[in-house]
Amino acid sequence: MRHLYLLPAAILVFGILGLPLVLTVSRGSGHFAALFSDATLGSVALTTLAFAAVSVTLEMAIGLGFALLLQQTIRARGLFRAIALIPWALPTAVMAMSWRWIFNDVYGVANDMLLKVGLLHEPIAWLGRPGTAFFALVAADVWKTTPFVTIILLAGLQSVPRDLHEAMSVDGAGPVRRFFSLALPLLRPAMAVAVTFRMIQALGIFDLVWVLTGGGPADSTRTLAQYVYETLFRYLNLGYGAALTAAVVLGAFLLASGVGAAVRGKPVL
Amino acid sequence: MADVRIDRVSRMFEPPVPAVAEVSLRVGDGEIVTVLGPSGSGKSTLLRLVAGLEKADAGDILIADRRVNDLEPGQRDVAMVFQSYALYPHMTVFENIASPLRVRGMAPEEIETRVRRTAERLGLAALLDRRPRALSGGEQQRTALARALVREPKAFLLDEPLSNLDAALRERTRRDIKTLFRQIGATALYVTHDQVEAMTLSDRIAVMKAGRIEQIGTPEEVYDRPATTFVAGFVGSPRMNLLPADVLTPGGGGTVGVRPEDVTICADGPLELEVALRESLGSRTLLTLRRGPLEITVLVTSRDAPSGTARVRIDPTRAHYFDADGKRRSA
Repeated sequence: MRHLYLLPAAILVFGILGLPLVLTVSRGSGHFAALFSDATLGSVALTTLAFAAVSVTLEMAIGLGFALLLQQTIRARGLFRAIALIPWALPTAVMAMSWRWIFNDVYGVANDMLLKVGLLHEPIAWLGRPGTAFFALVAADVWKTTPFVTIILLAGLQSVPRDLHEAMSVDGAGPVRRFFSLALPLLRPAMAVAVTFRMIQALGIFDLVWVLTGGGPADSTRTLAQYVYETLFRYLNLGYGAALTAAVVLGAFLLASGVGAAVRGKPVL
Repeated sequence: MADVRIDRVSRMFEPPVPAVAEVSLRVGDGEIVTVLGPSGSGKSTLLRLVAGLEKADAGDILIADRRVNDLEPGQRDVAMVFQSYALYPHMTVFENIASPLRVRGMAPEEIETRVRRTAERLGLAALLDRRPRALSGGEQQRTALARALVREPKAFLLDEPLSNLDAALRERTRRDIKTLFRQIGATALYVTHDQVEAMTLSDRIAVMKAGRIEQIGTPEEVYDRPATTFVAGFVGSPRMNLLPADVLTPGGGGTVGVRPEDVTICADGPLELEVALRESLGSRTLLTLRRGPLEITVLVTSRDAPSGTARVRIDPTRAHYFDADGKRRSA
């Protein structure tokens, strides 16, 4: 009875999230069977997983590096922190258009720079080849969402009291030792939050892919969200699309919370 | 153990105001020296300078006759106990105590032996698998102490280690620390703002004010012969009366200090004042007497406590005389 005040919110959440999910699963059991023999689903799921794994790993690593840099007492620290956040503040569609120009094979600045420093001998059609298109997608996503990881990890680093670092340094530990014995273990809860959020977003990636490659070339960058979108709104296959959505939502939730729990070192629930 | 010497050490935070100014202090081998002062007096900064957590702008710091100014904290072989205890929250009590030994790459069997021995000594043996969060304040404090002891360092640095404990526990832990440090012959530099702690724990006390040492001496010396009005007012409870000197010797300049227990109430006393406040301390009562701007506190046995007005006498031989700069007059 003590939690009775939660009832209106609980009804709302169940009504708009739980009920549709339950109805979809219970009425569309035939569609769910079809999921297992859907070869397209398999291939887009694989692409999405690869994208999520590579981009989130890079974001965590680079984000940690930035967080460690921004934690240092440097001049104009506030300014650097603000600058570091800019990519994240941009609307995805706008920044995706910019990256399309950056990777343009004729006018793009990526080719221009790489040619000038001699890393390339001839321009590459970055978005026109399966391997490089995937790479371009990862690069744009890392550029945009690393700030998010940076800010969360920076907050985590700052929550570690200075006393602890001082105690360990008086006891003989250098910066590297302190990082691995103190900062990193104490950063696990923050890393778990960052990785969970990023996994959920990366597994549901749509807008960046839609603008940058449209899923091409040859469906090589087609993701789950795009497949769901097309099933529902292009081919108007509503029943199967609903089942697909439910499966993707559940799968992404389980995977993200599983990875988050692994990073944190204990179960989320 | 070894001795610690601080020789004319200064530290500026926001020049030109020094946090520590030309401080010299020696902690002998096996000696417990307390740095006593109010907050902002620079006492913690002095401790951090010895630990290497702050760099001295001038002067020398020597530990066991070796100049350590340019050494990293970890190379100075001192152990520090923090006011917050600074226990590692993700480690068990065992791992916390073992941490300094692990950092030094000691063999696991040796670590096991040493940690268990130290934990035994501090009554932590049953708590080794707990995390700091699951410990009481006193247990956390002992864990922090164990982490310092286990290293067998050249010297101990303690920064207000008892100030987060309640009064009863503080008193007990104070005695435990003194007994323990005597047993192992520890060299210790102990920082506190609590003069009772300083009086009871130390071989010598250094009283600090505004980055400078006002007086260094044994607890008895500091109490019986305060070098300045600041020391006179800071050490001793209840606080010493600091009165204009002409109260005692008409026409005299400077300040005269007299402890509340050295003022007597008697019918033929030369000063008559009104009783403004009575504070019972149990067997004794602290009276605040006032007449105009003059205020004198007197400690009397509770059944002798007068009300209304009282006449008091100050024994000139028990009084302390200070000149206009607040320095003790020789005599």
